[in-house]
Amino acid sequence: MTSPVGDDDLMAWIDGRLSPERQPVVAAFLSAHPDVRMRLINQGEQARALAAAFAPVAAQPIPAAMRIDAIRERRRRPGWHAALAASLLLAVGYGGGWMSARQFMPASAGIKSLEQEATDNYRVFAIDMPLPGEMRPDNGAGLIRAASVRFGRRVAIPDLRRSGYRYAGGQLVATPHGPAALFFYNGAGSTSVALLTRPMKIDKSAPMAGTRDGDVGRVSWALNGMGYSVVGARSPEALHPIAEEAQRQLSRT
Amino acid sequence: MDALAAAIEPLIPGLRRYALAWTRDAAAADDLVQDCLERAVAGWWRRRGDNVRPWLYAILHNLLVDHGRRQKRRGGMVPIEDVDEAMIGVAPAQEAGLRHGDVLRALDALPVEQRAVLLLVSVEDLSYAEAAAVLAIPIGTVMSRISRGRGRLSAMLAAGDQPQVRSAK
Repeated sequence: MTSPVGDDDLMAWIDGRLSPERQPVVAAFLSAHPDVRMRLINQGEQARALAAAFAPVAAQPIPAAMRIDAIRERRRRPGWHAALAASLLLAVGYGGGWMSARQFMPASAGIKSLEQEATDNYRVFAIDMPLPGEMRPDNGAGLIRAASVRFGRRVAIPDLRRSGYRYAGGQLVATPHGPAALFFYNGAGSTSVALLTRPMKIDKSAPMAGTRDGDVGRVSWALNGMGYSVVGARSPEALHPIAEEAQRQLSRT
Repeated sequence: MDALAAAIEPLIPGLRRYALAWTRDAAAADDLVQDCLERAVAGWWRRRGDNVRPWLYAILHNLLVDHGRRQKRRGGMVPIEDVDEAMIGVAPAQEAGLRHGDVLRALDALPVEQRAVLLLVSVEDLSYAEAAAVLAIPIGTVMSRISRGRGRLSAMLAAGDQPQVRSAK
């Protein structure tokens, strides 16, 4: 028995991606439903108009700076990390540069900004894909050293295996409120959470609280002048036990 | 050309197109592509599997989402009239007499997640599975978003529900 025609078949028909088995099924449906066929033809024309609208940029020569060799060359030069940090700030920060950020941010330098920084970083780095990153999981000690020097205090990477999450690497990131360390953890399936930590100028101590930003949950707290935010594509309630496990370990160090 | 350049460079024109379709600001689009490429070079060793294309688009997509959020905070989006004409085709499309401006305005009025799948599938020609990988959503969700996005785009164009309505024949 053939399965009935679905919206997915109709979209594949527009895109010319129907499998050979589905082609006759959809063709029979469309000859019985000329109105649907007309609608699909219109939608196909709109799809082609969309592709045509953006075609010119792809036909242009690419900027020389985008050549892989050029990128490698810049990476080899000293100061590359500073440049990356600056671009990272642009990518994850609030824009407007350091000075304006400092002028307008003092009141928001607390836990609210911390969790937003954690969320933005999570969205950039913790996509469900292999990720770019500087630090291998086995270089945890190097990351701890680098972060500890910048924070002026010893930093620890919590072990969240008891909560079902394995440390998967981390890196230093720039935030409008100074450097922060971002640790990634992989759970079962393709779930991942990240923990962002940085020294706090405001809210040096704050109780654990959960919030949500779209599909990303956050549980954040501050202790002894360090802020922590656990973020992931899960509800704040689901992240709570993970955050508590992290807090338990961090309060001991 | 080495393996990394051979795998990445052919995809750069498409990445620039995707970034421009989101930002409508050629300079900002290229900055984001540059950022994406730097991350790709830095993270090459962490890549799993052979399919570089969805991996690169995913990095760029996340940067674009982030960029969009910041623009929204600042309240700036480039009006279509100000877009660099060399970068976006402004000549009328032959088919159905559709004007690019109308299509782009309708595109802008779509919810972000529908716009993303339409651009990835119709403009970037990614497979449904690749689009699903880029957006980290199930393939069924990709299909329903395309269907809803196309339906909505079509309804807007039919209703002339745009700031500039083209005159009736």
